Amino acid sequence: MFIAPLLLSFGLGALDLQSSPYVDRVAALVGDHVILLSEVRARASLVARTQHATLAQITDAIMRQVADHLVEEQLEDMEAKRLAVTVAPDEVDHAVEQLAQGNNTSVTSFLKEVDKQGITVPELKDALHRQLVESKLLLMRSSQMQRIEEKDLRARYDQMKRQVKDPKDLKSYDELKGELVNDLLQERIQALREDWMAQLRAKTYVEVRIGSGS
Amino acid sequence: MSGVVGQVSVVDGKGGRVDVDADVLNPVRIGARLTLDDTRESARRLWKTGKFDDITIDTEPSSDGRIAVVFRVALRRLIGEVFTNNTETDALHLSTGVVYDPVAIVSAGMAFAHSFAQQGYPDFALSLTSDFSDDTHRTVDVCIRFDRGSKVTLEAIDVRGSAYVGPLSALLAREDTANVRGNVIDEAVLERDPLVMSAWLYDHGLLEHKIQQSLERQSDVVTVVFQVTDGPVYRYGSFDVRGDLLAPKPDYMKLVTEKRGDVFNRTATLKIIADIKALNGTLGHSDTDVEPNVEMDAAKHTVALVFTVRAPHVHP
Repeated sequence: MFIAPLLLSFGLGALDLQSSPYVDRVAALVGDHVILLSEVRARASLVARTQHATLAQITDAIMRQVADHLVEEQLEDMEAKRLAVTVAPDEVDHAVEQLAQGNNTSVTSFLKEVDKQGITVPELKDALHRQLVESKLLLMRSSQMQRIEEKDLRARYDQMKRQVKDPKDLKSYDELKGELVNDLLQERIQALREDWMAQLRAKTYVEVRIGSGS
Repeated sequence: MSGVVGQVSVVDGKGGRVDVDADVLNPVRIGARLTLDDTRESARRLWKTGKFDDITIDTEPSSDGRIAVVFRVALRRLIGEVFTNNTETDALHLSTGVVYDPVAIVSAGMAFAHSFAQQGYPDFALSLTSDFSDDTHRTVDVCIRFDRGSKVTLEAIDVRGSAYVGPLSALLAREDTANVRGNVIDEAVLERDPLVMSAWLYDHGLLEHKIQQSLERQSDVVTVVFQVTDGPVYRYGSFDVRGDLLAPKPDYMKLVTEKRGDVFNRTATLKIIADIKALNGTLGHSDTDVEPNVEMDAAKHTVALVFTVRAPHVHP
């Protein structure tokens, strides 16, 4: 199958035309912006590397997911431009430092480890940049996020109690409270993001032309 | 193949040459090594012309042993018939023979819906569907269904949940004179209302407040509900002024008019910042920036406030 070596060549500055024909095409439309198949492949290649998989293992459904993800990034990018939200390089560097600290290691060692995982430093910084932009945009909408009340935490704890065979196996409410707050916060941020993304999609023409959509 | 571009062309589905402005294809230069960035840029420029429905990029060996880069394009289709249930949809400018551009159609539809929403028709519905007119797929028929819905006006703006419902309601009555009973909701003005309330709450030490907005619809009237959660009242715990101090520190501390134990007040904090800038301005540094660092103690409900002064010409 010719597609695997072809896919592997994406992301490189120059094209290796000795081993593969070069084909690109429109993969998705986001308003006036066009996402090309080569961009989807480049991101799929990154996904494959981080999962220690080969590009041949990337199915149509995954390509579709990758394309959908790039569509969302483009929607966020357009929204960031509209609201003049920017992220400075030193903010990205700070995020790298925080990640290194979180892993109890130096920035140099952390970047070496990331490289071993198949992610280059520019790819990591690009991903962090996108994440910071998204965080800033979500923060602007945080007033719409439902507040986490004590009763929500109790309800979640009661639900967990019902799910375990023997309630004695479950840690006490106070022991689990921090974890419950984190879980609920993550869920509400995710719900906020989904709601926001649905609103962005509703006001922009989006068409994905690749993958099965399943 | 050498990887060097020998020819660049744009062809349609039947292989016929399609003329485009030279600058569209400029990124892919004859004699230069073919790169992904260059073909992507050319594809984007081709797309921006608005003439094409699809673009595929292909390469072939050219006669001189180099590469022929071929941009295969599908020309945009034209609108065949337009079916509509209301002549007001003429404002969408969709008519027979016009280029079928789904992006433009969706944008026009959204602008149309927005315009009706602003006029008080939130139930306005516009459905646009399309299909090929015939087997040649050269034209697309468009079907528009339009339903204006009923006009909805504002019944009230209701502030709930706060211990300060009275002052907040009075504030909105003063600041938002557009959104009153019987009027169509003015979204642009309504968007400011939570910000106006937030500013007041910050001036009363309520640094953790939350405001959630919802609509309660009853038939053709709607009540805007602002559910406010106050949170604790924060007081000043400590003050400091640091950084590029051009006068003795006590001169700066004198400008901090708030006292320890006072309820936090954002307006007063902003005035202190302005006063510090003015002091440095009188000392020849009008480009001074003052950054307030607010450290909240969630257990004691106090705020440690540090003003960091930055005068660029002192530390270039």
